[in-house]
Amino acid sequence: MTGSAPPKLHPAAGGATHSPPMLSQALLIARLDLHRRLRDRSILLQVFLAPILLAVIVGGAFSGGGGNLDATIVIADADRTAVSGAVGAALTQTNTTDGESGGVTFETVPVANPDEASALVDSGAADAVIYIPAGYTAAVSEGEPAALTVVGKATSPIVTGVARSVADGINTRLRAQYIGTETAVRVSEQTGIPLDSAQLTEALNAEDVVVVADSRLTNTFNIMSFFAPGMAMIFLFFVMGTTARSVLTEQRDGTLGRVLAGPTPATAVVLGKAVAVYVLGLASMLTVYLVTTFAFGVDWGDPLGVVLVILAVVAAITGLSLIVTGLARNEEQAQSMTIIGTLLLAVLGGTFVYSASGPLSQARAFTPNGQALMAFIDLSAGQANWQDILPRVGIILAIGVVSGAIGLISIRRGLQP
Amino acid sequence: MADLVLDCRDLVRRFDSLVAVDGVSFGIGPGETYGLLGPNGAGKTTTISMVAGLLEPSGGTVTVLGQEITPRSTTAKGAIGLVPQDIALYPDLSARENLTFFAKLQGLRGSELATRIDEVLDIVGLADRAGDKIDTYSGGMKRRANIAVGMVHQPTLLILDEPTVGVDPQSRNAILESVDALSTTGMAVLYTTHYMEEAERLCDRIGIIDSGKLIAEGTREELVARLGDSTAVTFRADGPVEAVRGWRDDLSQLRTVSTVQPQEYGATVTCGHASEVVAGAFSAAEKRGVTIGGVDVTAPDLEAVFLSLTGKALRDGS
Ligand SMILES: Nc1ncnc2c1ncn2[C@@H]1O[C@H](COP(=O)(O)OP(=O)(O)O)[C@@H](O)[C@H]1O
Ligand SMILES: [Mg+2]
Repeated sequence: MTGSAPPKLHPAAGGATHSPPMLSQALLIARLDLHRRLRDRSILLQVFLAPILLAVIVGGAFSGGGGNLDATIVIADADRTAVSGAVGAALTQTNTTDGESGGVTFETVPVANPDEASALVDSGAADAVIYIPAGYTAAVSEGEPAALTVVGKATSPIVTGVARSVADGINTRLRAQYIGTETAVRVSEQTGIPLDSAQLTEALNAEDVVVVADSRLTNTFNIMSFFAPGMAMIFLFFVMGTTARSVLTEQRDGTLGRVLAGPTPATAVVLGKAVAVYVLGLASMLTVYLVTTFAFGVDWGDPLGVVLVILAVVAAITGLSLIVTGLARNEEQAQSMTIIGTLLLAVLGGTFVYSASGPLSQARAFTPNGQALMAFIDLSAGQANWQDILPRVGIILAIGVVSGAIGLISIRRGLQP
Repeated sequence: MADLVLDCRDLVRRFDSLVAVDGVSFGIGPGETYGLLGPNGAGKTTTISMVAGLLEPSGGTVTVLGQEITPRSTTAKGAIGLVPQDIALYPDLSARENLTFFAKLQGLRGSELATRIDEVLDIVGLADRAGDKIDTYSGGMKRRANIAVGMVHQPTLLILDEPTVGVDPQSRNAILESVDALSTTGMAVLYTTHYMEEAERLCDRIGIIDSGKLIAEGTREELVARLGDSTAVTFRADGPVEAVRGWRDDLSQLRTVSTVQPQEYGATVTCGHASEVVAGAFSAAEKRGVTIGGVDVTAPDLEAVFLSLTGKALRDGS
């Protein structure tokens, strides 16, 4: 106080200002949240430095010849049709002839049943097996459900992952081809002119199958393409607990009550916090993506596809972070929920062990990070393009929307007295 | 009563079986400073939390400028500025950053925003430290910044919840000066305190609250007039317990004495004729073998009003 007369205020006019729309309030809250978090060094470390550091370490360990996958994938053919034969031939064509510096080598082995296929892995003849069941070609050309089975070793999840995405690729391509030939088949039925199996084989052009196994899968394939996305998502989990921490801190400091005492609905607060954690998660994922791509030459695949998966999986993690916020009553609870959630998602989602079959592989489909990991593998190893991974992106987004809605409702219930 | 800025009717708030606020009704007119005076736990914070739309009333209504206030009435809350009892600021941000954020949430923009922030920083005397983090402020400075944020958007009704608790005398005076200055701006102010002197100095009207009930209301003069021409006389007395007890009974028999409040060493008496009562008290003490060590005569004030209404002291030590 200076002791001089205080400056005159204008007489208060009833409700001096119009309160701004909720969305711009949410953005104000998000901006402040980010501004404060970015001043906090531990967040910077978690979100940007640690992923880059890990990328450098892992990238260093796998750079050079050691970074290449050296594995044998056997196409176990129990179908033994012209089409299944063409698939095997197309894949073995991609094998490098010099055979010196590893890479994925494809072999075809005729088998009678799934057990024989599994035996190939057990005996060590194959690192992974893509089993084409009897009747597969027939089922595909009838438009009926049919699947290729992948058998892998628990100890080599990466090879199993490659095999699975190759199998997915074959299945997708053959079905696409089938739709193309369906018209021809229908014409053949209606006109009575028979369509022989040679024609069908030609229709199911083997060259298309080759596309799924181009040079990426051979000796230029980099293990980092598998590690990088999994790694990026681990750091995303760290971000998951920070929304709760931010809300609880503001509750303790009284600033949350102060915001709510103004013309700001609770929804704007939740939305603002969600936007902030989304931006942070996005920045973290993009950091790993860009650093591994430009510094280590990792090929994540179709950039548009990669960005779509990143946008979706960050949304899902944001949604889950709102659930943690809604449930946690104090920072200890938020922390333990985050740790438990992280471990659960990591195990179920295949971040630690990527099993191609069994209950875990089924659980993977229900976790956003598992879906994202599969989409990333499709993009890098399977050479899928962005349209191919849209169903996965849809599932991931759905998880985000549902968990976000649950979180919003439970937080609002907690905030409103 | 459409011309009231704030109108509370029959406010009730229960916490489980505890009735923290029990049928409180009062109104504040434009530019008026209203004091809610009561001891700790009386229900002041609970009352203003309902007024500010932070707490759902168990019963009754709050209207500000004719609009009902509930936790969901977001637009109407723009007319209210709340200065909470505890500091509610971002400690890692400067006063100016805090002010900017809360003012923008209220819808202030551009040059109006900048002007208002400078104005309130001047009012609370923080202009020269506005760029420093709240963390680095003294307790009194934090309280002043806390007040500045509550009034930056020029609310029609400013609510201050015990803004001087725990501050040094200098900051306390600064805070009282700035609240005093507000009364000239046309802002209606709701001020809670358990300090009688603050209520007397700042408030046009005062409501006395105890155990969740508004037990009296009026200007300072009106409230004191309720006592009639009574004066509070406090005796410090010593002697055998039985003797002191008997002496207190004697006091209540004296002419013009209305209440006798036992104290640990002695008693406080409200009476109409102080000198007569003092004389009577001394002669009674002599007969009982009680020694009177001191006499304190206070002219009627809000403390005495509270004492006569509740039979207890406004401040229990604090
Ligand atoms: N959230 C709450 N839960 C339970 N009891 C409460 C709560 N808030 C206040 N109270 C009780 O209500 C009464 C009034 O409290 P309060 O309004 O804070 O008083 P004051 O502000 O006058 O000191 C007290 O007995 C207090 O313990
Ligand atoms: Mg209080």
